[in-house]
Amino acid sequence: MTRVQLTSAAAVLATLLAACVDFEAPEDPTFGLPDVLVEEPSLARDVQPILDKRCAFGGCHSATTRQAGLVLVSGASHGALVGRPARLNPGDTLVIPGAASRSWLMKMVGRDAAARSGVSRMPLAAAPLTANQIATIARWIDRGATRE
Amino acid sequence: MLMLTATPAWSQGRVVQRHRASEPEGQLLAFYSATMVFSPLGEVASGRRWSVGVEGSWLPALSESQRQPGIDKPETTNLSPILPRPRVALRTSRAVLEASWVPPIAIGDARANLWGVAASRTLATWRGVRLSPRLSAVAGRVEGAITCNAATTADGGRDLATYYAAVCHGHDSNDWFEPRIVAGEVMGTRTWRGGRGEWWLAAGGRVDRSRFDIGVLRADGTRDGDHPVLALHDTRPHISAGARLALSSRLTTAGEWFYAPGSVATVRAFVAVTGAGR
Repeated sequence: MTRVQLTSAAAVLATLLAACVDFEAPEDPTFGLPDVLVEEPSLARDVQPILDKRCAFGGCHSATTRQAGLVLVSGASHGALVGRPARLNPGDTLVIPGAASRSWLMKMVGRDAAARSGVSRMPLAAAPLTANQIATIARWIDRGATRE
Repeated sequence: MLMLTATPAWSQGRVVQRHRASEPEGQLLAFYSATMVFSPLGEVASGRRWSVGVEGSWLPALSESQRQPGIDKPETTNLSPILPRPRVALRTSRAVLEASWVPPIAIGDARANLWGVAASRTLATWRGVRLSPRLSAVAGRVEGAITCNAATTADGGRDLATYYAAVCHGHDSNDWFEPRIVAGEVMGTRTWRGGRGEWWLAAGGRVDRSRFDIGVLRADGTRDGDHPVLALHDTRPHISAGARLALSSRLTTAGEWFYAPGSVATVRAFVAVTGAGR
């Protein structure tokens, strides 16, 4: 191999090595939401932002798509959740005021796969809600799951 | 600039989400639009009047985490490792004009229909280096099954299978990536090897309004309008360096390194038939 060929091969190799993707996907498990446990949560202030960011968008629980018959957009989420039967697990109720541990919603977003009876965790095929976000929703339910 | 602001009929009534290139969704959009910038690689060499050639641009594969905007499910974006682009260039007495068209044929698992145009003019020469401002634009569409892809689903777990069945309606999607780029650069070009070759350095930026239309298909084959259109809204810098060499009186080859900070560093190769100057 001549010197010119060697130099050319080295130049090509160096150029290929200099080609790369120049970003790393930022990981934000909070999805831009506050990651704090709210002691006295309200639906509008603390729970609905979680639903908006993680559930109530196109293809999922929007007013148009209504996966599992569930609309979680602001103004519709309370009526869709509280006291309503769980379509994916007949016999369960989505939100039972005062009883987060028996509410199907908490089983669906929780980390206990056995409690979901084989149904996929929500949000589907995405990062789970943070522990603080889950606990905030649970407290809202345990405190009566009021509309405010 | 009209093509950057026009809202096509297919997207009217859709939710359009604007993203900066620093956001997860914007990063993916900026990466792919950067790979399509119409760089100076195919300019006709000095002393020549025209060139007709083909550029090959390498598209580095993204990792699974890079394809997961917002740590969501992985998108199927690695559809082709290369973007081939036919190019023509013409040197007039006043400027160099360039154009390209990638016809709508399948390249890997994608189908592109892309246009590119550019114009440059030498305004000054300093110590043998020609200084030329250059303007370019790219528009068109790349189609592929990016959001919903049966092959990717098969590699995933049960959650992805459920997503494919419920959100994707059991169909591969027909997503549209639409680059909308206007770029401006300043080039420095110098001849070498007795005029047989030349090298260049270019630095500039691009106004990027590229879009990604999430094309989930319903059971009847129509597009599910409940999904948003993601729109990049940013201005980003880039640089390039390359060299061009006449292999014979009619054949020219060129290579280029292109770097868009925060998006991609890639290499491009070009071979062309050229016609001599007057």
